[in-house]
Amino acid sequence: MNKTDLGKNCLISISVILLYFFWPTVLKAFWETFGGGTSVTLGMFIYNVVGYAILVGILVAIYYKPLKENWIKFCKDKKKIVSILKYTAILFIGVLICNSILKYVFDVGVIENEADLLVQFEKSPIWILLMVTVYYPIVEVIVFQKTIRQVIEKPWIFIFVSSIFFGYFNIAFSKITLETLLGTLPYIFLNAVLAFSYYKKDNIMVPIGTKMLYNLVVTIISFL
Amino acid sequence: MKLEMFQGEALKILDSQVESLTVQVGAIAGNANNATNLNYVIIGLVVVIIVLIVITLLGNKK
Repeated sequence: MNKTDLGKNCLISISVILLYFFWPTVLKAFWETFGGGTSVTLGMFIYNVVGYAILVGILVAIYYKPLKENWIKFCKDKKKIVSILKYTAILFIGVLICNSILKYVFDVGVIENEADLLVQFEKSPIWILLMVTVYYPIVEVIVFQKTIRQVIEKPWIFIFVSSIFFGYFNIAFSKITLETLLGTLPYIFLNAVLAFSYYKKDNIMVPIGTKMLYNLVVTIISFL
Repeated sequence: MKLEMFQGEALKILDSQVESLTVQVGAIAGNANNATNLNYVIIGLVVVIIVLIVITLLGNKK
């Protein structure tokens, strides 16, 4: 990749990252500007669903060509199911080990981000199920992996930067303490496996599919 | 009479659907309320952007 392409990719990546993080604020600002109240209504729900769907649409539109190519390649891949199952199994084993170390070595329980998700899941399982199995796998893999991969060609640096980036932003909204910092370990591991699968298969559909399956199974287990 | 009962039941179902949806909106609103430490998010974003720019400027061929 030449310098001009790299510069262009870097600009697109930064725009996508900023768009992802400021989109909720943009949605909220529009809602308030056009007279939407602060009380929870059906209108607000529909507005948010449409708003988040638009974000997915924008991200897909930005990366339309590579996503389409990856999708065609993915459909033709005979080992796609095996790959997704393999990486999902690695995720389960790894995250289980990380959580066990956190619990029994460092005495770290459920971190704030997970606790919030569990509370929200009890309040509205359908919404959270949709978010964790459709929205987050597509959007987060694009934001935390595709954007970084566009700029960083060296595989191990890409995996490292992408995983630290993902781990950090899973706790950035909480109070940052030693406990929450240690709590990033499973997230860093999770993203590292997904980023590795992306590098190895050279197809973004593999980490997206793996994350969808992983999140679905975790959600079902939480529901039981 | 039967029609009134049917309408009553239909309204009850609609009410429960709206209630369920409003709970779900609450969950979305909860996401926004969690953003209490925006400073950390902004610091993180600045760091990521700097890293991407530096790597781009240095070049990073395989």
